[in-house]
Amino acid sequence: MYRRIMLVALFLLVFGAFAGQAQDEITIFATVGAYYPDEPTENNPNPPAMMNEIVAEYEAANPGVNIELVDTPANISGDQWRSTVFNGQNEPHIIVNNYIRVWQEQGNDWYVPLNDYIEAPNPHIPEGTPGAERWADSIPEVVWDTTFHTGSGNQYVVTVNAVAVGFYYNIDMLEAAGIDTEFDISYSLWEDWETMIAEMGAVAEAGYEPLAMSMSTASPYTYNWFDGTSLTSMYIDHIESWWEPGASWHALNQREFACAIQNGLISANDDAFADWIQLLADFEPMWVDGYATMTWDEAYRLFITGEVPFLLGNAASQTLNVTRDADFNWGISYFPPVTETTSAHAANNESAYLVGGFTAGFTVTDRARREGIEEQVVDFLMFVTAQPQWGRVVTDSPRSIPTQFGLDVPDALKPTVAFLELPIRALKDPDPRLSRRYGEDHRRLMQEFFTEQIDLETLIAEEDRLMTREARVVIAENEWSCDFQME
Amino acid sequence: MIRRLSTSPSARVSKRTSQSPLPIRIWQAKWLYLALLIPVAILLIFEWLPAFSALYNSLYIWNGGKVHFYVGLEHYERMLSDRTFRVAITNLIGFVFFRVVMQTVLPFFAAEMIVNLRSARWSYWWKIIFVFPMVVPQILNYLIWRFIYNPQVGLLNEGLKLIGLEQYAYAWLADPHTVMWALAFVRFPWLPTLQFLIILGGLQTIPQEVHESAAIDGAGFWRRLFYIDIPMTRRQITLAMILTMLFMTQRFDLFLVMTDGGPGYSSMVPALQLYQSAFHFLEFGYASAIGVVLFVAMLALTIINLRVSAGANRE
Repeated sequence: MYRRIMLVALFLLVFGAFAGQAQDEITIFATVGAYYPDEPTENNPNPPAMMNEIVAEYEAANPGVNIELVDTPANISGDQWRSTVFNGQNEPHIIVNNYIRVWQEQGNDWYVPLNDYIEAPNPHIPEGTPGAERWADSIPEVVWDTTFHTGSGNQYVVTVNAVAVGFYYNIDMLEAAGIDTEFDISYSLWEDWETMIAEMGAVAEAGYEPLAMSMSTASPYTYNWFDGTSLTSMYIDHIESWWEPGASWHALNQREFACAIQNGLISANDDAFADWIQLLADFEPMWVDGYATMTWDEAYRLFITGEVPFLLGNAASQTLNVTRDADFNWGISYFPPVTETTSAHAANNESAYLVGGFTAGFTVTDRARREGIEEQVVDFLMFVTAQPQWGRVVTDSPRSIPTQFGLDVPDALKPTVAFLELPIRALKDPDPRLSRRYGEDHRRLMQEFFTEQIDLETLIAEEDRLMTREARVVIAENEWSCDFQME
Repeated sequence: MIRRLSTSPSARVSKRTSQSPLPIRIWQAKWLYLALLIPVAILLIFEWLPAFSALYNSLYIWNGGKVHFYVGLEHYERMLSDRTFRVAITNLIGFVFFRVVMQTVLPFFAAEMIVNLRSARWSYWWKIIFVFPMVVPQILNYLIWRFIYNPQVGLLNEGLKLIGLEQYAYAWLADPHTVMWALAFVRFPWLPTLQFLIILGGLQTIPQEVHESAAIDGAGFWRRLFYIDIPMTRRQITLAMILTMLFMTQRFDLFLVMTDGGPGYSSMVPALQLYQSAFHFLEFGYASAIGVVLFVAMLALTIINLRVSAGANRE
């Protein structure tokens, strides 16, 4: 009897301890993307680890709240990882995600709408700093516009990073080939697209493959950047009529682009579309051999080892790498504008367009709601993204350009900040332009055309079929009306 | 002697057990059955359930989350008009045929060579050499081959340049005319360990007396090969072929790592399309339908192969 009483008492004691802990303690799991603190290595004994400090400060100010930073596995795709953790209901409370993926997965109710939170004050932003009275004010309107999901009318993503792309060039190689490397034209090494093609052609004649880039679907690909910016140039005269009424210059959202297709405002059978394909076809011979299956890393290696004089890359993270790895003189440049010299449809282009922008941000997942800790999770997110904290994170690890007002850009990224002042391209990468399926199939069709598996006529017919089908699917899925473009 | 054996204790137990009613026999062996339950449960949960759930999900539009509604045979209809699927099937047939032939013929000759070695020590070391690649991770192999095919700094093109054949240096993986051949040549000289061991095991079971009789009758290597070794290892050869066919059909990692099905769709295969449909486009229903079709095709081919082989054995 005595033993039984002792056992019951022990059980109650243990159970009580766990129950008490469960009541008092909250654990928030969060991914922080590229800012996850690296482990020290022999080559890098003091890697950036500011996130650890930020977490410690929050935990100290909020007893009973534990923050666990989660590193996403590198050996599987982000899509696969999210499918697994969400379906297993084991997702972190905060996930860094690309806004197009969030749109794609929005129907699953995986993400918490942040509309009300961003309208409220952020208590972690000092008084007088943008965002203290209304969290949304800490980030430019253009960022919120980009990530806003029209279909649901919700904002799911808080984007505190911006990225821009850039042409890195090897000054020593270009000078040896007799190419002028003076960067005296706004944002571009070249006056216009034709000049770029001509000078890259001169590089090719000197015996080099000019441009290292990737069109492989297996890794981050740089082809999409040409695709969106040059297509914008071709439809410059028409784009305003595709916007929702009263809108100012912005990147078209899915609804606007899908409706433009449905309403016949853009078609693969247009002359402008054919001109655009020709523009890319004339550029393709400048790309390095094997670009169709080349990875980003392989393209980077060709540039760094002096095999190729140009590299198209991410102007933020890649700048750090090039600074570290290059043993030659190099510069960073930008896409040239496409003008009437290239196509009559591009007659009104005054500049190049910004490629990149505000792609990835923080989302709060349904787990926060399920566990009843949504307020606490959002509070942590407000703390991390507030200028005093985020400023330290990006200074410690300058991997992308901070978007918040009132933050200094780290020195390493200053050369690329000018790119962010360009007008944003109206037509995004193929995936967010219409759908993930469109992006993938379009890229493969273009590869088939470039490798002469299909001719121009077939390409246009296939593109037309693909655009029409995907526009119909996207419009039906979201139950959109397209009348606004006909008013 | 026979009488003694039949009255041994174990034989008596066996006799008694076989005469008991089934429930009693199950009860007597309850621990064995319980122990078996664990692997059976694991098999059911992780192998059979996903397979049958694929059949069920192929009738639905499912995005891997909450969007899940019945569409009947729509995915199968879509497959009929899906250009990507047609290209993928065509690529797969060529690839599997090539690899089945190569991965059966070459391991067979390797096993023949070892069986015919007179030195036991050399035979042992050759076996080690052929089995050793099994410990190298598959993904590492692919990355090495990816480097071999690199158009700028790859071993293949550098080798060609070295011997004055630079006009044949290609972007092997980025050219639609060479990509499937390049992928088929990955892991040359195709000596898969499992198939090699299966065939070797078959050859080693042929009694030495048969070979000696053939030699006395004047049969040379080729006659012995075609009239003794191949007929007597037909079962092992069939098994090796079926396994290769199954492995190659399910293979998508090779295509994912090396080309992701490109350029265009020129190296797309159904298993990769299945993976992309599920995890890139969140079309789990369509991916399940592709999986079901692949499963049925593999099952049919395996049955045909077994029947043909059984018929040949009877002859």
